[in-house]
Amino acid sequence: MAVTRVTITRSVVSSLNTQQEAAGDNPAAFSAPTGAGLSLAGPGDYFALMKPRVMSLVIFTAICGLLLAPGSLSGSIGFGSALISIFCIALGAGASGALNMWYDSDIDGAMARTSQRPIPRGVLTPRAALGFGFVMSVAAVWLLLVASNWVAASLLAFTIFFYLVIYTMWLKRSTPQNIVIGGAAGAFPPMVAYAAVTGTITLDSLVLFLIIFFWTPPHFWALALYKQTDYGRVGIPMLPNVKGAPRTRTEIIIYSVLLFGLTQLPLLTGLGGIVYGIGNLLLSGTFLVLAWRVFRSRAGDKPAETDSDTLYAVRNGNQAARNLFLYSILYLFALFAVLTVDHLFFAGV
Amino acid sequence: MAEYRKEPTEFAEPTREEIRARTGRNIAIALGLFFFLILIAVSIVLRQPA
Repeated sequence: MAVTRVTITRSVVSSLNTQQEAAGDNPAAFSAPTGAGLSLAGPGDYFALMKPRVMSLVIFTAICGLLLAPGSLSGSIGFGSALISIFCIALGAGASGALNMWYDSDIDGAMARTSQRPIPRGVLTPRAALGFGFVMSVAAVWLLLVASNWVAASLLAFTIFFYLVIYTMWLKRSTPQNIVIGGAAGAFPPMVAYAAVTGTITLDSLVLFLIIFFWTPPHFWALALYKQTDYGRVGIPMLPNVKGAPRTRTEIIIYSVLLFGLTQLPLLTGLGGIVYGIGNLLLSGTFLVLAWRVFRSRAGDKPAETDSDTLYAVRNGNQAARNLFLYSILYLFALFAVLTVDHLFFAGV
Repeated sequence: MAEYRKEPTEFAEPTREEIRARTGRNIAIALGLFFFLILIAVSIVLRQPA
């Protein structure tokens, strides 16, 4: 597939008159007008750098990956080491979030969705976020190496590298396929947890990876359809801005069909049984229906180009995209929960 | 003998908010390091063959 490369340089957003830009890396600019120029950031601001909401999904899928690994309950890793491994994966995800906020500090202030993050709010300097993210990354990988094995630790290190360098620094600003490839970063956590138990990468852990990998594009593109002005304002080449809303809606349905097919794989590998099969049919079926509604809608179309009759259709379409986005979050939680419950309690049924 | 302890004579006094924020950060760093060391120690112990 030919990928249109849209080179977005930092100069595109250099004109943004954010507080962070004016302050640079000078802590004094972030503190009260009087005083010694010390930072006013508290522990909560550093915690916000770790993207807690994203972390919750990472933790959940990682727990599922760990429980799905053979030997997880028979003591091959131990409860204590399992807990510490999950903690390391969460810490690694948080560190990636902080490093992402450091690099994107030039554009976050201009997007409504990200304008309340600690750096654009002027509470933290980008350098503080970089230092925090780096230290947390090293701590997470090192602790995971001590608690489990080098395969899991290497995978976690690669995940952080992939999210920061491959996705944030490279793909995000250069191609509308950014989240397709970049989505791999979010798909690694269950694989890392699986490796923490087994010390290997297997077909089952690869299936867990693929499910999240193919879930990511429809999830993000649904959001991008009704938030495209946000991304467009800072020059991020999301698919709706670059290729248009109709192409995005088509790719959403294509990836949703692929996702539906991939979610059948656990039945073939033996990871899931009949309970998962039924649950998945309902969950993925609903996903497909919502994706179809987005495909058939006018979501993301520019209202200015439409007459008053179609304005209503665009609004309905955007609502359909919003429904898909919100459902997709619930979907991933539910799918992994059903698969894990089936594997643990109904194995062999 | 020159007295240096009272120099510099002019310096910016941290505000109450700044001191509170710095204390919060210091406590968080101390607790974080302590927790990290505990986890390292526990991990090493758990990996010892029974």
